[in-house]
Amino acid sequence: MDDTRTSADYGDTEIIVFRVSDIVAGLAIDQVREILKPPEITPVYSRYDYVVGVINLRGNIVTTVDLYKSLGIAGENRGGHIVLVEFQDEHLGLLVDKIEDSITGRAENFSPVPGDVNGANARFFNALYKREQDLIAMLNLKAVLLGERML
Amino acid sequence: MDEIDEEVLQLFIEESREHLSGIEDDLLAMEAMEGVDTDLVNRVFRTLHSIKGGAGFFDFNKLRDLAHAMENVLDLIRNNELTVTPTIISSLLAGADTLAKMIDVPQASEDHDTGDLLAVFNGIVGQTEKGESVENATDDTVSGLSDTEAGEALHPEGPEEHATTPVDTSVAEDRQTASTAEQAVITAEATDEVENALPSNTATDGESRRSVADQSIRVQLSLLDRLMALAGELVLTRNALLESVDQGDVRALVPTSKKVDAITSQLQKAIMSTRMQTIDIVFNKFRRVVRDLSGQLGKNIRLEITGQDVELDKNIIEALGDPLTHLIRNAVDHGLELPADRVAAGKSDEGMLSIAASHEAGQVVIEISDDGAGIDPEKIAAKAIDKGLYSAEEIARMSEKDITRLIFDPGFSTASEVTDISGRGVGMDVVRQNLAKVGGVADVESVKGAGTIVSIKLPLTLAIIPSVLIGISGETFAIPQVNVVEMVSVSPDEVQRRIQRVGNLTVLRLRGQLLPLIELIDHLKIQGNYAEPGSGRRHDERRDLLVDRRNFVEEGELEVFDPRSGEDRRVHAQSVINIVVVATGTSKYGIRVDELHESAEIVVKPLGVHFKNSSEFAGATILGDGRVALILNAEGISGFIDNAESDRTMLEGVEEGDVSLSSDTFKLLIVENSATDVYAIPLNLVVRIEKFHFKDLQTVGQGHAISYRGGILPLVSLKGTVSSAEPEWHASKHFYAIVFTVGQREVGLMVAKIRDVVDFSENIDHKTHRRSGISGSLVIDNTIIELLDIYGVLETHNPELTRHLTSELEGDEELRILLVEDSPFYRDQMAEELRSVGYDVIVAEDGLQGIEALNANRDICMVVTDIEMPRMDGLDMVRCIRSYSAYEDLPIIAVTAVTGQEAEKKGFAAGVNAYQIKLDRQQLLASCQNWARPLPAEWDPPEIRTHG
Repeated sequence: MDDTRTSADYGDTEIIVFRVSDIVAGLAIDQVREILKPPEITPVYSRYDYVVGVINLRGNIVTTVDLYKSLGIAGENRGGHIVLVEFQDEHLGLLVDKIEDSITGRAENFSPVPGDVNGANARFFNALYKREQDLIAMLNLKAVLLGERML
Repeated sequence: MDEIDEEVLQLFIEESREHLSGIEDDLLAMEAMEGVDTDLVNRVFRTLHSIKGGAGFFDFNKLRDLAHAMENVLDLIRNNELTVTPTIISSLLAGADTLAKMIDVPQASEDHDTGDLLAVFNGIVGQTEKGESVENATDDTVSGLSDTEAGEALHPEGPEEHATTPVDTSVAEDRQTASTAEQAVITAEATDEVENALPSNTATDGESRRSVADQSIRVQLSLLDRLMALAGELVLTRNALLESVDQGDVRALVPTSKKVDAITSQLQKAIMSTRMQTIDIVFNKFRRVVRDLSGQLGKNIRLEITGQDVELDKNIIEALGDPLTHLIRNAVDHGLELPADRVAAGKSDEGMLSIAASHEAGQVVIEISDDGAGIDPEKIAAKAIDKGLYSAEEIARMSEKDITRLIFDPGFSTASEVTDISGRGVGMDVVRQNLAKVGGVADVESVKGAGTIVSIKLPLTLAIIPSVLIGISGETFAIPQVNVVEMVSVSPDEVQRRIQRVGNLTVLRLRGQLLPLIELIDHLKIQGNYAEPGSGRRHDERRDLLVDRRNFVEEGELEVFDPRSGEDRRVHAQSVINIVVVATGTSKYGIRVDELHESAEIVVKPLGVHFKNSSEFAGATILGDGRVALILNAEGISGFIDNAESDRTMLEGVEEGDVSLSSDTFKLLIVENSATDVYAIPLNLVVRIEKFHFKDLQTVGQGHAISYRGGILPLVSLKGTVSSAEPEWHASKHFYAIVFTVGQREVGLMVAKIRDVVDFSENIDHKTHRRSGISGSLVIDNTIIELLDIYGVLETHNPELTRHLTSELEGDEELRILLVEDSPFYRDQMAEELRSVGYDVIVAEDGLQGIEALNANRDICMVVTDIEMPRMDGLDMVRCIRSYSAYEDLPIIAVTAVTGQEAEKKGFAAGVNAYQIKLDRQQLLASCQNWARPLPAEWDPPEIRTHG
């Protein structure tokens, strides 16, 4: 899955909503494999500072990324959950503060990203989803996982 | 291209590759066939036809045209209108190579220039149609192709107009209609394969295309059935397990867990076998290689391949291609002779080259043997000396087999002139290195004039590798066992001497060599922490290790870790430093570790895309407790060493090492009575080491002796003196004699093997193992080795002889000498040396003790003293003694490691009579003989008082 969707590509879909610092972020349900409580994370040296390490997920080694660092926002990740996503045939973990919700999204409520979202660059997001009370920033997995240096 | 097309294209590529991999063999078989083997020719025809069909479907026109032109030639052969000749086969092979290249990246196939090939094939067809001899017509064009590999030499300016001739099209149309039925068959096969094919990745760019194809593998349906059955069994057992856990039935758990164990092992085995591929994938391409090369070199070579069915892990098979090709090329180019030379040497003109694979003790052995000229050890030896790899003496000690093995040494290439075929600057060492990457080991055996055998041993799989687990700051890492040379423990009091810092580089002194040390914490961003001595609790290291390069960088001078300053807790004075010595093909270095865990067979798991370009890790594995451990890549880690710095240091280290040897360390000779019966002898006591033949051994009285340098050398054996073990005489006809002097005579100690000479500091335990003939024990590389007291051994062996020998020197005078020395090792050594020549020795550990000893023993007639000592040093003691007029004439000899005019001047000023360098046994004894005199009869010295 390449994840270069725009706001128009999101149909009616369930959205997994989670929090990263002040950002309410979301992923379409088809991008999420699993949500886990973080097991022990083994730190691994990597040239990408946002890689926090690897975890053992039922015998598979899964690289885990700190969303604070990928998004370039200050502060310390509370690390309440890991959102397991599939990206380019690999399973990867996103370390987030915590999972907030799972909502049913409607296609017409997605809109393009106008600019930076709470301190994170607009390029990390595909779209905004308008919930009653607030906006959910839909993550661009490619930008978040590969970062600039790998693109 | 939409997704469906992408998938079909992928299928086309994979299928075409498979067909093409067989076409080479088939073409070679066609060359050898008599008459026309219709089945064979049809098979080649169908291959080309299906490629043509696919290429047409995807609009790869050049690909289609080439396949089409080749197909036409095959059609003529099939119809007996064209006789197969080597030139035709050569051009068909070149065509097949080009097809393969084009298919690798079909999107780029239009960029290939196929003009020349088309011209050749169309020419063949055209000539045949006209009834002309193909041989004449095509020779010119074809010869240009025959000696090129993979059609590399095709000229870009090929005559394009030849490509389409009227004949060509008509034939093509004919055949197209005729083969509709065949096409149907092929399509049916293709559909079958869709079902069998494993899901393949969808790649979007040409670059990753090759790896995509390599990522799928064909698996026997029966094997999948077995996997399914095992999975079913596992599910049932799991259910049973869950049930007994639910019911709290502990007894039922035992059989169930055993069953889980059994099924898991079977499952593992079955899954592993899905990765196994037969080795013929690699072997088959050698027919072509040998054919082309022998044609080129005018050699007549028969190739025999056996054991194609032997299975190996897919990874290993892939890695075998290059090294094996190199070996085959070598054999054809250098090994096998020209037919005329063979006949002259009394051999058949046809050379034999054989490639054989077989199973042997859980490994796979591949043998490449030829009956060629063999390797001349003399030439190898001459070259090794010439290149400065070895000295003539070293070569003289080697067996012929060992000399032959030198071809694997880096920088060795046997061909005196570099030829086009092999020896392109790539020596056998590259073969060895490439094999080592997949855990393979190569060996060579050769008889000059009769042939050469290169044998390669390979593991069955790389998926599970034996490794050593280590702990650094609480993290566990695995180092593959193949890379681990040894593990070294540096005790706290040795740290200062053995671990030093030169510029940015930390080095370990190991047996006279300096080894770069790598601190992984600095490189791998590990949160440095250390275990609190005592509690074992871990604390974070406060320094930021990535930024702070410690205080060692300043001058580039050699600096020593100061264990007392608290500068670096990791080299705390109270803790042993463990180092794993790791070797790769090209470098050797040490990794400092906190903990050494057990060795384990680990299952290698790949790391994700973020580590694709990291050379530090070879993968990861999961430990028994579920934690993840990273597997270190020894080759990649070596990149952390600053190479220039490392070279410079190693050079400096040679000099530096020598200086330090005379000051703080001493050399020990490690000898073996048997493999488990190992002793150390201070090297300074050894006069020389001799190798004797058993047949020269004479029995004298109750002992042995040997005629030696015009005299008799009495021999002492370890058995019966300090050991009860039977000696293991390694070189069955010989034994070694460690020659040392007793009095003025020489005595030889018989040992089975000389193991090593090591540098050691003063850390010797003089209590635990002390007994007659053994003066203490020491630990080298985690083994306890007993330190021999040679004089004690001799005494045990033959007390009379010992008395006799020592009496020759001193008669029966019992002169008492005071020896003042703080180091237990030197103290013991010197005391033994002095006692061996008949002196009565009293020892003291420092100046104060020395004076006490003088007061207590009024009959001391000489003092031998060290300079550097705690509490009261040697010079202070001497000044104190000399302040009493009665002691003005007492001989005092200073022994020290520190020499120099300045030091000597100070010594003489204090009242020392003679100055000696430590460990010079001969000089010490000569001095004693010179200075020690019986005390005058009326000797009554006053009590010495110290000033404090």
